Amino acid sequence: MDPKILNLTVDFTKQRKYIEPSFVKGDTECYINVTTVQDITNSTVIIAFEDSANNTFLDDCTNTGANTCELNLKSDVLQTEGRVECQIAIYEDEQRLTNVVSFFYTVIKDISDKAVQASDNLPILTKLITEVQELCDDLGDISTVPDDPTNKFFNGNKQWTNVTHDQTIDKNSNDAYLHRTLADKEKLDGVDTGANLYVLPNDVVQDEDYNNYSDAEKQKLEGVEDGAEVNVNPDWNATIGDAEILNKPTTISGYGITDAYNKTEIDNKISSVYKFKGNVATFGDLPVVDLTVGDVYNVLDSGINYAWNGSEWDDIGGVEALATATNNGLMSKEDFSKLEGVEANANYYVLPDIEHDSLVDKNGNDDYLHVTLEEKEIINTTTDNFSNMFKLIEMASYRVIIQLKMNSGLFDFSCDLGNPTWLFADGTIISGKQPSITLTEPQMVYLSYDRGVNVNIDDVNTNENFIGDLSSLSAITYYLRLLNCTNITGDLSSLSAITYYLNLANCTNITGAYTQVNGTNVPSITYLDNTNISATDMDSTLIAYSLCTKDNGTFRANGMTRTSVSDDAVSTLTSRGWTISGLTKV
Amino acid sequence: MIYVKYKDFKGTLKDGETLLISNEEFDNGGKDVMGVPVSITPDGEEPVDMEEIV
Repeated sequence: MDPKILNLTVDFTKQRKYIEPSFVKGDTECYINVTTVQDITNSTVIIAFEDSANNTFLDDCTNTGANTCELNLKSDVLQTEGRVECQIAIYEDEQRLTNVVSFFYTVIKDISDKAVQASDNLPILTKLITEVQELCDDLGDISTVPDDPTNKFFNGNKQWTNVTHDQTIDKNSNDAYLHRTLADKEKLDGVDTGANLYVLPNDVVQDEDYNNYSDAEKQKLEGVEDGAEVNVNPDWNATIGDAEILNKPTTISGYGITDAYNKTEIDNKISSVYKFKGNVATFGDLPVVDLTVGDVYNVLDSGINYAWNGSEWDDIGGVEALATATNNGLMSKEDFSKLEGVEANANYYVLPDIEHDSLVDKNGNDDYLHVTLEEKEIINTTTDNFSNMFKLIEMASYRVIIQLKMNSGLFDFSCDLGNPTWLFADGTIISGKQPSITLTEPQMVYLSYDRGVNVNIDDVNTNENFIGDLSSLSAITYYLRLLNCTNITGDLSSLSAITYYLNLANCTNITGAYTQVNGTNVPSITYLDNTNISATDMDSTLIAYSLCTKDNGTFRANGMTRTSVSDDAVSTLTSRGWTISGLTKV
Repeated sequence: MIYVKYKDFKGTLKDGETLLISNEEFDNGGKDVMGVPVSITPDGEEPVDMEEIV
């Protein structure tokens, strides 16, 4: 006998109606094969049973694949005749993972053995009896026949039920009556012609009105609050509908603004402000009646605006003050006249403190010469008018004046370049390089030449007749030759930094160190033979020269001495091309 | 002016003589010469009197 098998395909997310099979009481080869939509590889399908006597049983299915399992029905769930309710679900770790799906089967009585035993001699008859007996079992109790069996049907539940007749055409095109239950008829009546069985997709849910929604739509709906609406643009003028703005404020305070004036307050304030009323020709034309505080008129002849203050006309322009050093204002008539008298682009010039002194110019004219107080002081402290004049010329800044203090005798100085002019005590003025005259008496000879010219000053053969001092020659910056001027005195420090030639050979009274040289401002040729310069001053002079940047110079000091202090200076100079000669180390 | 070269210097000079030393000789002992007039030139040659070229 083949085993009895119930094949179930179960989707635990849905309720389905399954066919209701029958198992014979006491059979042991009965199986329920379950095919699940869900993967049960790591789960267990458990089936609970409750028979007609309300006995309950529980059994685990044996997994036979990722989505399949089977259960061999044990005898205890086949022992009680009647309808058995089964509930199936997927469990994992004793936790139910799915909904419970219910189905039913029926346990029927096994009467075959009895029938066979009762007709051993007629096995065919026994079989027939068995089949009839099974049919009777299937029919159930038909002994209770309704009073009117017409239109009645004894159904699978062993109950009489109403049936109906419907005229139809059989496969042979014959009109015939088909017998159906009323429930089947009602069900059939509700099915449209050509209707197909539609199985709702897994990802579709259905509401109570049988409207279908996808999962995405369902999630969207779940996220929408009850009564939610799409955005509505409020309309100030709308009086109905969603766009209507309710509780619109009608006052300033209604907006929550507390620092604004309301209409009454503004009206009160405006009532007291100036109100321009028009123009009148003169002050006397201003109105005297129907006046309100704040009325303003422009008086044309003065351009002044007047405001009525309740009792009189007030010049609201006030009185503009005169300008001061710190405040803008009007200009006085005096200042206006003063400004008008200043020429365009005039410069501010401060006249120095001057006094007048009477001098005779070169033409013998007595005239006034304007001098500064400083110049006047020089003039007053000098008795020599020529000296005064040269001083003044020098102060004019375009000529250099040198005073040469001379004894009587040959005056043989020369000055090359610079348009030299020589002025002698008797008023003689000689313009030229070398006057070469004999002075009859000691005097101051003045040499004037153009400022900025590198002139050459040479005593030539004047020699001992020059009785001046080096300090009077401080203006010389390029070339000075006072050879054999044995009576000249002075210190080398009173000279400027001569840049080319300095010859004071045999000026036996000259002393001091020549240290004011610097950079390239040092004589390329220096002769200091037979002077009165000490060894210490000579050391200082050599050291100063060595600190300059000029190379290849000549320094001669025959008859003079130096010490070891200047050893390094001499070494430095000679290493840079200088010749240092005539010095005796002491 | 009579110049006596450093290599010929015997320790004394006659009147009118001057010891002539090069820069190198000055650095190598010449600077220690005392009591006699010395002319030191870069190359030890006699100095040229520059006065006439002014």
